[in-house]
Amino acid sequence: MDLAVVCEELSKRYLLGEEHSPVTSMVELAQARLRGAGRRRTPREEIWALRDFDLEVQEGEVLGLIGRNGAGKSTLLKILSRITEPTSGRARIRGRVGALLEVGTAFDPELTGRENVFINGALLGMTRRDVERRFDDIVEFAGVERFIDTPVKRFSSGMFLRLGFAVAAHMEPEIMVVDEVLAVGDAEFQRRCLSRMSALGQEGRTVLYVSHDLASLAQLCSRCVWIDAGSARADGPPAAIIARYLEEGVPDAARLTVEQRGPIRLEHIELRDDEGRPTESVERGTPLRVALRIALRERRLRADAAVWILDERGRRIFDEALLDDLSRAGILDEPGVHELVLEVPPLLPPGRYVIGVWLGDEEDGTVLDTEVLRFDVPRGSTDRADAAKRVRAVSPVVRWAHDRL
Amino acid sequence: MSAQAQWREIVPARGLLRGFKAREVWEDRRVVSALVRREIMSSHKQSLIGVLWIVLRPLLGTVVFTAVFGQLAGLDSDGLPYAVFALSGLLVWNFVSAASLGAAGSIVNEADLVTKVYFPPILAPIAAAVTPLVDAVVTLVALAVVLVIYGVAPGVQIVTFPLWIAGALVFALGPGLWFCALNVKYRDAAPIFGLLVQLWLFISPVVFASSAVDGTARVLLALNPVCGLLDGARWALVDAPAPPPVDLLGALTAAILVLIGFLVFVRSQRAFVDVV
Repeated sequence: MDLAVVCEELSKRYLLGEEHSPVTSMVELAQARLRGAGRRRTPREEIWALRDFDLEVQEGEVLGLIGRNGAGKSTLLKILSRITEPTSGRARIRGRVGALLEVGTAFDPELTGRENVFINGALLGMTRRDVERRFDDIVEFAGVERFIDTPVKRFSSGMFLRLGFAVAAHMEPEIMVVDEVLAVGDAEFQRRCLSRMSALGQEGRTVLYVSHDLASLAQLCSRCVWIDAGSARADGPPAAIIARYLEEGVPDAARLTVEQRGPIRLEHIELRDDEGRPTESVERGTPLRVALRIALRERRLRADAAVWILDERGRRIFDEALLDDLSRAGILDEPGVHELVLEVPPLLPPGRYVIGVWLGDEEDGTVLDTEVLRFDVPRGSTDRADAAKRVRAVSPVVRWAHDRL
Repeated sequence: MSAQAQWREIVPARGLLRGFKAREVWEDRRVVSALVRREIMSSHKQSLIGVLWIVLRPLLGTVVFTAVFGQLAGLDSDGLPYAVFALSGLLVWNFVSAASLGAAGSIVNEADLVTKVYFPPILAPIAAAVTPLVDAVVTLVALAVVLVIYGVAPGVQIVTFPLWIAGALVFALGPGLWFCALNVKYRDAAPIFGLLVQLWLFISPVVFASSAVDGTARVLLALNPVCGLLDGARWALVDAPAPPPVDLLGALTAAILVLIGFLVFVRSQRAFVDVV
């Protein structure tokens, strides 16, 4: 087999601090210079998003990349697609790279679906003839035949996402890098996207895929790399790497707080027992209580929090958001510290689980989406040992009515 | 499939031009037409009278200028009807100012795009500078009508007009690229540039004729590249006197500005994504 991607000691450093704040004014800068009398200000904080990262990917391999938020997965994809450049080290790639870092990038709401397909295709590197040849496939994949000459601002969000993914998924690059784009769509959208990506893999294209959806990743990928703090921590078959990641990779909440920098932060998370005391395991038959302490630096619009649960195989078996019920809209918008306690009726079979938290709002979209803590549901004293091995999504404590007739 | 594909190396950019390759820019040129098409299609979709807006702005400018500068102030207009003189000047001036202002704002305006899709960054300001060509062409039609009304006929030198506009485009990119790079780092670069462009109008022979200025002042005026471009375009379009040799000074200034703009831009372009 031939190699398609090689990374050698690839590193990327980001500088944080005044000069890189989004809005710097020359006046502020001049003032800072005057105050400092020409001397350099305090050295800026630096963050190594990738550090001496090594990787070899074979042609035709479908590689899954996992790791916590800020571990360097997205930076790697951005370097490989040449959007940003490495600080040191080098990467070598063979073939055209198609990057799908966001669905519907550069779609103009005023333009029709057709116009957007051609323009977006050109921006992604397709010639007009490429787009013409694949136009019908793209439209069919997106399922928007009837609306293709309607401005995309009238599209439903599902149609918009499908069309955006369809354009990118039909550019037929030798190497495709895909970053967490499937998290936004519904189940049908995700199913289509995954099957399209696995088709790309079967055509012999190389795919690098970042996702928090570990179960789909396990299904799609032939190999998995766990990136931790900018370097490859484990590399191998998806099932094994995912199991290790879930076992070792979940951070403690204290460390997580330090790493967050957004307008909405998760300050603390704990599980609570019946009496409201912190706990690390949930007895069979008792409700699961997840307490979140969320800090908002300023007023936000439609701030939302979601809690999801993965089972031992990385399958997402539970995912509920505060604003799933619209009557709760706005309760998390005020600045300050909020406590939310989610109570889930008892339905988990015995086993090990990982809890993840998503935070975001209308303006910034996703602010945090990561695994945060692990817990056990121990076997009850009368539970049969091997029952936990059976495949099932839920296992509420059920009642069997019985009469001997 | 990719047996013949070449290895491409991704390394930190070094050297004076930071790895800038003209060939790559040329290969991705369709990005320019895509961005231009998107801008034109979407900006005219929502408006009631669409294309008329493009004509209205220079025509209103012409009416105001003719009233204020032609009638009241009685400024010299190279012996042309003042309306003809003003509209032909506004055509060029509006293009230069729109092209360089557009280029200056381009990377920040397309931040969502440049952080998600790769293309050589310089294509964004180029596309933004090319877009106002459409307005220039539409204004050209309006000018033709005005020429018929006033009975002014252009000479054979009208065939040189595309050259003047091309020159204007290249020149506009100089300050445009420079401020574009600055604007990524310091967001008040754009308003400052906007202000400079407004002042710039008054040192450009748009409302007055360059021939009305002489001596040292004329030499200083010629240092402004817009002077030569206006003289040349007016010569081509409305048969004004040919630009005098002193106007060549402007080409020198333009060359320096374009070189600076280009260097500043390519030397900072790789950092845009991390900062914008």
